Amino acid sequence: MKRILWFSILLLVAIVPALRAEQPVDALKGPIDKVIQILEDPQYEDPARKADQREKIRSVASAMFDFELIAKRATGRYHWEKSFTPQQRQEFTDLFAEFLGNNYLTRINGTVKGLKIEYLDEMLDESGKRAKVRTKLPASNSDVAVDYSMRLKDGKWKIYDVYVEGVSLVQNYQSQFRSLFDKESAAQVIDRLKRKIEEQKLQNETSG
Amino acid sequence: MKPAGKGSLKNNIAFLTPMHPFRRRCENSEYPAIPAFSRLVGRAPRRPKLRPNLFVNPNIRKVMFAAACLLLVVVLMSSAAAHAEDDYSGPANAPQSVRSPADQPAEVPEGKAPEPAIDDDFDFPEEQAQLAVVRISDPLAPLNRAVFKFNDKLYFWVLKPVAQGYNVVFREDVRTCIANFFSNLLTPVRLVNCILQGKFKAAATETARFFVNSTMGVLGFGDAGKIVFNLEISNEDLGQTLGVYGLGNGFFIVWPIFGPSTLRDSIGFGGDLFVNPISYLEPFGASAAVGGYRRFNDLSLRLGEYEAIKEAAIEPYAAVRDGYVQFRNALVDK
Repeated sequence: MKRILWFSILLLVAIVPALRAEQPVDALKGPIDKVIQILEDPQYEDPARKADQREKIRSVASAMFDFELIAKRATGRYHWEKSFTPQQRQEFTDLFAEFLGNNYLTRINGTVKGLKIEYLDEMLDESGKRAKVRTKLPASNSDVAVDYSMRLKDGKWKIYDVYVEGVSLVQNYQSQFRSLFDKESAAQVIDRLKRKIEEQKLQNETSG
Repeated sequence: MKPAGKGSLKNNIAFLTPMHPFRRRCENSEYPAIPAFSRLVGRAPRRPKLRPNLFVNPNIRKVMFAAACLLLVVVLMSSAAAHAEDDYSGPANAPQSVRSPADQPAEVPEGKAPEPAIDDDFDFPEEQAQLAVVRISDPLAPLNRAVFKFNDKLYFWVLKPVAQGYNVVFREDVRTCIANFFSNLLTPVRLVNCILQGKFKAAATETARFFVNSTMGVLGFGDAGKIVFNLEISNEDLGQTLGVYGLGNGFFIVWPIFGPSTLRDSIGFGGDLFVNPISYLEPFGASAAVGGYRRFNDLSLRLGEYEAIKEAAIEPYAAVRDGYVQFRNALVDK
């Protein structure tokens, strides 16, 4: 009888971590490690395969982000509901996702070599649906604090905001769009975003 | 120089110093009237003043000027805080984005019962407090934008090419050593502000860093405190101290050359000069040159950062304004 009891306790101990839902840190760490792995993969040294590498990183990284929520919050409630038509919302979300992806790729390309990210801690709010994960990027002169705000959606943790040294990315874009919407219509803002993406493409081609 | 008036010689001089014979005669009531512009009076040696004049002494004048500025700022900021909501940047903002619970019911369209937002993607309660702080008034926007454009051109046309040349001559580790030296020299600024904020542990660390870096680090060129003892630098300044004391940002200012700032941080910058050893160099030109060189050397280590910010921005001015304020707020909260 005692043996059975011990056995069941052991079983419980073994099973509980497996049953536990995916933690925000894991949802972050997995893809990021994979991105670093792709960046350091020697098979992409060949310049002809750089485009392949970019696409691969893009597909891994974009799965981490909740672009719809990012686009919504970057626009702000008022302009999202009042300035955009439903089609424009979709168009804007796609464009903004591409724009952010390009930014991300140019940023990490030069900097990630041999990067060791430290995962400091994660904090869940009361609902258990939102979390903040704090990380640290060691840099030559001083460490950079990067925090991720994440939300649980359909059983998956996805990033909806990134804080670099306390500066929220989404909020920064919100203040930019707010300032643009003061002078321009929704269509003009979307055009501006398109032009910006063209610029990024040009720059990417010239820089290799 | 004003020639001495009629009675002044008689009152001032009496017996303190051996004087021109003419002056001693002045004590004699037989010679009551001396022509004010007489050749001899003009030649009489002038004594230095024994008592410092409160309003002429340049140091005291500086302090009083600073105090007056501070007072002005407190007044301005309290009024700026009151108007911050509508000042931000135009009418389109008034109805949107950051909503306090108080004005939420007013926004519900007429005819519908007020209901809690079903789609609450925009309002995450834990972020409301922070969002409210980030908005900053920008009454000088047109001027600021002009100066921002000027700084942008200054960077791309002058500072960046010069820094690139400088980087070819001096290797990165040399420039880091120079930056370390200045950083060590500026310990008083950080130390004073650590103390003013009640961060005594950080103050002790700063003191230790100063002694370690000045000795083991050879006059501060090496950051021995960080490398050997893992003593972290704490970048405190008066702008942050004032923030910790509860002073708001005021409004946004873009200074030529120096770049983005707020009213509070500008005041802090001025105040920090009092404990900044570089600002005590004589003459003023030398102090400005050394300070400018320090900033230039720091910039040479951070080339590319501004480009990255600009590339990632759709509206660079708003991006820098918001980024600066968020960054400073985060530092104050730390």
